[in-house]
Amino acid sequence: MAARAAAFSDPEVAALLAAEFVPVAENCSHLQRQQDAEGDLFRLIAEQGHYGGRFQPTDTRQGMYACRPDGTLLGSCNVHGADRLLPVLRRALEGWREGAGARAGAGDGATDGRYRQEPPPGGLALRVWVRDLPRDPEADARPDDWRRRAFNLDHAWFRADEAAALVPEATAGASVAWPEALARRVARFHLIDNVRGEPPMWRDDEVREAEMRSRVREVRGGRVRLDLEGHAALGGLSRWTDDWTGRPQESARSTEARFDGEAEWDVALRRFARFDLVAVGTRVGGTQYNSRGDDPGPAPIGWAWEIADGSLPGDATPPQGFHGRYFQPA
Amino acid sequence: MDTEMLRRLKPAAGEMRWLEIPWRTDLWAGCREAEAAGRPVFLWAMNGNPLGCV
Repeated sequence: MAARAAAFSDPEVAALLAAEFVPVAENCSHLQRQQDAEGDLFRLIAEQGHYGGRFQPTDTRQGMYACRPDGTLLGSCNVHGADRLLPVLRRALEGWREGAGARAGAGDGATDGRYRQEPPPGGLALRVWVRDLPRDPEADARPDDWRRRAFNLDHAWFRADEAAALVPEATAGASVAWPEALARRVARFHLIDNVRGEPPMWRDDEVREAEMRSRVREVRGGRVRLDLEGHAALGGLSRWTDDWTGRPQESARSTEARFDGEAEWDVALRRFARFDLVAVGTRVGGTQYNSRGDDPGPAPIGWAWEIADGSLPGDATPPQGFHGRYFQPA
Repeated sequence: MDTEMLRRLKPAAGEMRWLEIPWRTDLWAGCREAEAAGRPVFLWAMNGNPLGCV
């Protein structure tokens, strides 16, 4: 995540990637396991790179790779700063120019469907931004580095029938409670403290409360304008094994938050034209990969939902918790 | 709703520069595009989608 700010926000890096490369961003947790031509291609690239052949402390292959279309490596690294990425890019371009271009890797193009998800047809796809909220300066022990400025992005999906279920009768004052499964999904998969990383989702038995409601403010011009509100509380004991020390870790973690938002439902198109939702609350504790070891809280946190309208390159990215029974009832 | 809180939680323009790079989201298709364009591929691969939660 730190690479977003430190490397890929750098104007020289951005210009080089746009002008000289075909830039691709993908989830290597999937690529490493995909049983298809794309997975084979990634494994070919990655095993020539900085983590090739490594299995301890983890088998991760994450990082940055420059390669020919056939997978021949031109350079790789796993760094945060533009000052360390730029030399890799320049050397890769030199290597590219010295050699002939290459054909793309061979394969039948079939894809491993376990790792290819598209937003639900006719449904609702949302961006979910998250960041820490301001604290009492006297009690704020965070170092003045990326940890104070960190934010993250996930995505939330509702199928078409689920989105329609959030809309009450089109009469001012009418209201509807969101189906329990949807309220619990929002809590389990989207009240996640992923400001600094990508922790595990909440288990269903860790949901203590999850209630959401839509209320009609007005109906005008073929649109139903809604106020959204709700609250959720989650908590449990998180256990994991530290990748580097191999030692078992545990931490109590909890989150409580209140929701407040506005949305507009297009009656004719049967889809949301606007969906702005804020959740503000308190989070406590750490867990695997959320990098809160130095900042367990309690501390304020907030999430903001908005429609993923296709204007950002990652707007079709699946929710991080997609493989955790996202669409299945509890 | 609290529009000031919504604004505060969403990224500012300066925080969105990494999304101004024309990222493709499919390595296989990206390599075919690179072959046709006569360019090398740059792959940013993370545990978690770099364009989502990572």
